[in-house]
Amino acid sequence: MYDQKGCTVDNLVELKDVYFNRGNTVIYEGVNLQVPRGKITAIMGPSGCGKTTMLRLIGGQLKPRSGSVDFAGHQVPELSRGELYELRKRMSMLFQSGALFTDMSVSDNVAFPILEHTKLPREIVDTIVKMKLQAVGLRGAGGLQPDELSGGMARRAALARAIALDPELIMYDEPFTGQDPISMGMIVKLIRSLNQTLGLTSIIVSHDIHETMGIADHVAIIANKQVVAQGPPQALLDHESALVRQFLNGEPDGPVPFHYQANNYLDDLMARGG
Amino acid sequence: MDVIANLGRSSLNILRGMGAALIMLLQSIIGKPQPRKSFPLFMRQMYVVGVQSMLIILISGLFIGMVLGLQGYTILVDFGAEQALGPMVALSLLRELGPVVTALLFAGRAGSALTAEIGLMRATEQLSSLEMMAVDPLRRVVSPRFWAGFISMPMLALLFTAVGILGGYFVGVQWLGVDDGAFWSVMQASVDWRDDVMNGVIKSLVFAFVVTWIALYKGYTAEPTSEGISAATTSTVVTGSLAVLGFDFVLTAIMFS
Ligand SMILES: Nc1ncnc2c1ncn2[C@@H]1O[C@H](COP(=O)(O)OP(=O)(O)O)[C@@H](O)[C@H]1O
Ligand SMILES: [Mg+2]
Repeated sequence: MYDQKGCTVDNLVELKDVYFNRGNTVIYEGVNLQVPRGKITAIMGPSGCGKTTMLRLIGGQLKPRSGSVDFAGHQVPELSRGELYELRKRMSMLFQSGALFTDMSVSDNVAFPILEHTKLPREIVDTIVKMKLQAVGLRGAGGLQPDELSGGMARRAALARAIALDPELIMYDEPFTGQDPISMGMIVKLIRSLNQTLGLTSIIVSHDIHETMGIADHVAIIANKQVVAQGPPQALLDHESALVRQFLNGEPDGPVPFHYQANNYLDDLMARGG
Repeated sequence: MDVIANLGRSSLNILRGMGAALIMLLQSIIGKPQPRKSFPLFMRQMYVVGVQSMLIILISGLFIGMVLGLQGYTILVDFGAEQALGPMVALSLLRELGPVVTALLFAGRAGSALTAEIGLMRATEQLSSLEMMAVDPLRRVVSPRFWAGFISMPMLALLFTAVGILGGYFVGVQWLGVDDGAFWSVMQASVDWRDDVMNGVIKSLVFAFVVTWIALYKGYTAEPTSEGISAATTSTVVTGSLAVLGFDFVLTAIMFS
């Protein structure tokens, strides 16, 4: 978070001057991002701008071309595979599709990371699973298979799995996309209450401005291959950049033009006749 | 000039693909064995890949054997050599048809299913999810499927051969009246354990390796869209079948010439 003078205070994740390419396409050119510990940080931007990519950079699934990605004092891109896997036990990611394992019941999905990374006896694991499912309101659905769940339930089940090992950081990739208003409300409530009760640091990637601005403590906006603005939500709503305001207010035309680049309309129409 | 450049580019791409496939395979099967975790996964895949392919293998084997009995009889009877029906059926199956047809059927039944399953796991981010849970998807997903395919296919080929011989027996002996004793004894006399049985098994081990490997690689690298998965599935069947036929020629040339 920022103090009054704009200095950074205790960030769990920090990206500095990150450059990233996909083949020849430049995705990031000098990105800086701070994720304050214990807070909810929102990363917003138009689709395809590289929000998921940002999460994968933090999780070490992708490596930046240059720049630093710091997680709790570790340089993620420089870790060995073993160190990276060790570090990933402290973070978790809720994927856009939920990504429940289709060949396991809901309970087994939640138990999976616990069984994989601890040597706890089965009864204790089962108890933890029940507690995690209770936290997301799905204790009764433990015996169901993932394909029997509605979209919103699947996402909550995935959330139970994501918090199974009590991570320090949880990254949500578009948690609201494709949800009906009720399950949207449930997920908003869950993200907020998990953040408060477990003291998690949360990163939400989204373009649902309304929901996201409502629960975020810190917002970063990505455009033009960079983080163009970050700060508390209120400060961004009347940001000096027209681009930021266009995005946050959802205006159809502005610095991002409504019309895809084209030659003169009249010339184009006349060209056919001539 | 363009033709040469394109040829060069596509050969490089093929080489790069083979290199990537080799790395994927090595990473998934080399490493500290964890039998307590991997054995149940392996057994489950043996069921999915092996047991569930059994029905198609049994039925195909029976029909192929019956056709061999019919065809063989009509050819041999002209020379008065219908006692040679036993070895003819057995040798065709052991040396060629058992390993090859099983591999082709396996590519179509189990190979395509493996590709689609892993491609779907990629598309629904289950593989990324495993990685983010600090679980290596190569060890967890690819490795048990590889071993299950590699081990179950030669067993399926033996099953195919056995059922095929029975099919040939039913048609040749029970239906067309070849002498029962001659069918079996001439077969036993002319089938060589090392030359015929072992060479057939070696063939199907090679096919099992190649088909399973192709299926897993195609799935693992499938484009994570529905078009991507269906293209990868098709490609598994096409590439897998061609590879089987190509290797079959090479192996036959080495073994039987
Ligand atoms: N596996 C990939 N290979 C190549 N390009 C990709 C891949 N994944 C994403 N991209 C490209 O990277 C850009 C950013 O993608 P992504 O981070 O998924 O965007 P967002 O999550 O903001 O919608 C997009 O233009 C996309 O086409
Ligand atoms: Mg995305």
